[in-house]
Amino acid sequence: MGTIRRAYLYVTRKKGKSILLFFILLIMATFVLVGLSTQKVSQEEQKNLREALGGEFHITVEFSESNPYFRKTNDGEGNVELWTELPITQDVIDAVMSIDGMKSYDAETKTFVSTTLDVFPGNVPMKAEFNNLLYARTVADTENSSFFQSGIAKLIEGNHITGNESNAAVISKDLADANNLGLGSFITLRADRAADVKIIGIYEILKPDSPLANIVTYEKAENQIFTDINTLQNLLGNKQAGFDSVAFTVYDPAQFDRIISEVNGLSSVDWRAFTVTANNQTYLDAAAPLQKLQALMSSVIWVIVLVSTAVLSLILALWGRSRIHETGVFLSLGIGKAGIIGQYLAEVLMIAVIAFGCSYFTGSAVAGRIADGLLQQDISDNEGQIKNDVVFDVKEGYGDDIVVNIKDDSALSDMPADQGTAPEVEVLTDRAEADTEQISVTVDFYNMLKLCLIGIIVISFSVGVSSLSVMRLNPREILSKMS
Amino acid sequence: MAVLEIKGICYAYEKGRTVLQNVNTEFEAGKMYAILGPSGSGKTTLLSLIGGLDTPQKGEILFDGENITQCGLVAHRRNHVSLIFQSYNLIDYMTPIENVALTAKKDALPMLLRLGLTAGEAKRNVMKLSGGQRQRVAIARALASDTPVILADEPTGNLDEDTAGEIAGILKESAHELDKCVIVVTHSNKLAEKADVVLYLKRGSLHMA
Repeated sequence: MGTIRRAYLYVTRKKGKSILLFFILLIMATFVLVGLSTQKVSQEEQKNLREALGGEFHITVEFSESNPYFRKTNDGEGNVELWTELPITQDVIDAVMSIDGMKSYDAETKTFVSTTLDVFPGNVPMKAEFNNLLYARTVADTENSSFFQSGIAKLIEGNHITGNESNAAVISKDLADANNLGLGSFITLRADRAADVKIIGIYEILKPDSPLANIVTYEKAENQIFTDINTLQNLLGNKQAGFDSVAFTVYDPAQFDRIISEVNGLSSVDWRAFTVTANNQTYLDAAAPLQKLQALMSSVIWVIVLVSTAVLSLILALWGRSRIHETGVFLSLGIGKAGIIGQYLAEVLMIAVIAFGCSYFTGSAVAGRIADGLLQQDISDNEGQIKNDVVFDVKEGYGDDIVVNIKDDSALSDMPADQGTAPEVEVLTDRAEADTEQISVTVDFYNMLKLCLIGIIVISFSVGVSSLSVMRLNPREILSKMS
Repeated sequence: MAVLEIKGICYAYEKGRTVLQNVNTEFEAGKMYAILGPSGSGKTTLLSLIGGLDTPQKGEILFDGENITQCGLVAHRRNHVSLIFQSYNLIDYMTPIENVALTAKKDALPMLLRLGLTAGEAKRNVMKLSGGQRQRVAIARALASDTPVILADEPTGNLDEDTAGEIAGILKESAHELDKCVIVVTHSNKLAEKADVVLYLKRGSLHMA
């Protein structure tokens, strides 16, 4: 009679023990499965969160004396102009973008220009000389500009600036209508020099400035004029044209430190002229509960595995004592020790197969409740913390779908009620929030596979340990014990 | 020709008590041997050594001229000898058929029927059988394993006189008709009377009775 047949007979004839072992294994498997599933979901959610949030860092021109290319000119009337001989060029951007893990960038330089256009006045009184000043916003690509990406405006006519144009502009429909301009019309912008630019695109404002906000004329959404880098060069004359700041987005915030390290290590860039500002806090805040849960689950799995091994070893050892007689008989019949241990192992594995199979259902049910509860609790705690920091959620301005997390809310308490100028802010998108709110923990094939591997190791170890004392005896000693 | 040879075996327990001292003998196929001796004389120890359940401190046991340690004690137990115990040593969660099938090289049921069990009894749990029936199952298991040597340790010790007589008859029949070498360790003179050769173990030495 073979090992498996003997094991089958034992399992089917010793029903009480088999049922007890089944429930022990079922409980163990359920807990392991809950731990594994929760851990996996936590990992996946972290990945989703990373993808949803992305990661952003900024390279800006260092406007201080530590920058050897920094220049400051004073016109003698109190107007000071700060500029650099080494702005952020496309070469710098390309070098950064060549680093593995980079997603996109938004490069921009704001230059004051005077025009003859009828502009939309802001509600903050200014010196007369500033009333006709507008921003010429030189971008590498309007489509990737935060102005358009965040949904403040949408191109409705013509084309975006893509970086290949020369003397091109994209203006608002309001500004175009107010000045009887359209696609193909020319406007003159004047900085150090004058430049005639052709309107190639017209945008519509989707999120107007809040009527409560204090906005100067050149900041008003209607007055923004987007231009290409060649226009900037024409406006600046002898000065080298480039970008003052570039916001780089990475695919995975988990790679943030590596990328920043590689950026700082770029030898082709003279870092005395620029500053790299990395801010990964949004991701870290959002991922913290998930990381905490993942670490917790790892510990829980280890505890479950160790406790399971101990409990199973103890039970099998106790049962093994009652099987000394059987072991002695098998040995006297010429069945080897390996065959006997193999039978004991097969018995537990047979029950384990059923218990592990059933644990799919119990694990799914328990995982859905316990782990979800844990996740939601952690996320709620985290959101509570975030919401404590949130002072306002702009419903009518730029951000009716963004939550503004104010890092220093004491600044607001010092502000008059009708002034909404925000201190340092960071944006947490609704998408990221929604992703973490809809977490569901399910048991999948890979978790089952892992459970089986863990189960086989635990069972093998337990059977081995529990059989050790009996197997060390020779058959005669066992038979003596029997008698 | 001797199927089993015992050459100068000595065995002492750890506490230093010698139970077997230079035992030499031979066992042939087709004969039933009875080994008599007082309690503690080493009868069961001798049977255990022959059965490969233990190893002697000195001497050797040869099966068909080969030291049983050469082929391995497990293989010796599986292929050369079958053991029958006073307490039957059946597996309690199996039926007689399954117990016999544990080592059987022959069909289990005909062997059980031949030894007097009914087909119904052969399919019951062994714990529901009488002592005599259980011992028949143990003998059937030994015979079905088709080993040349059958070792029986007090096989009738737990049985009434009539059943003991039947079991003794079966063992002798197995020796004579199936050409087995049957070695029985017993206190029972009645069982010993059935044997072809009676040996007496006293003070660690084996003598012809």
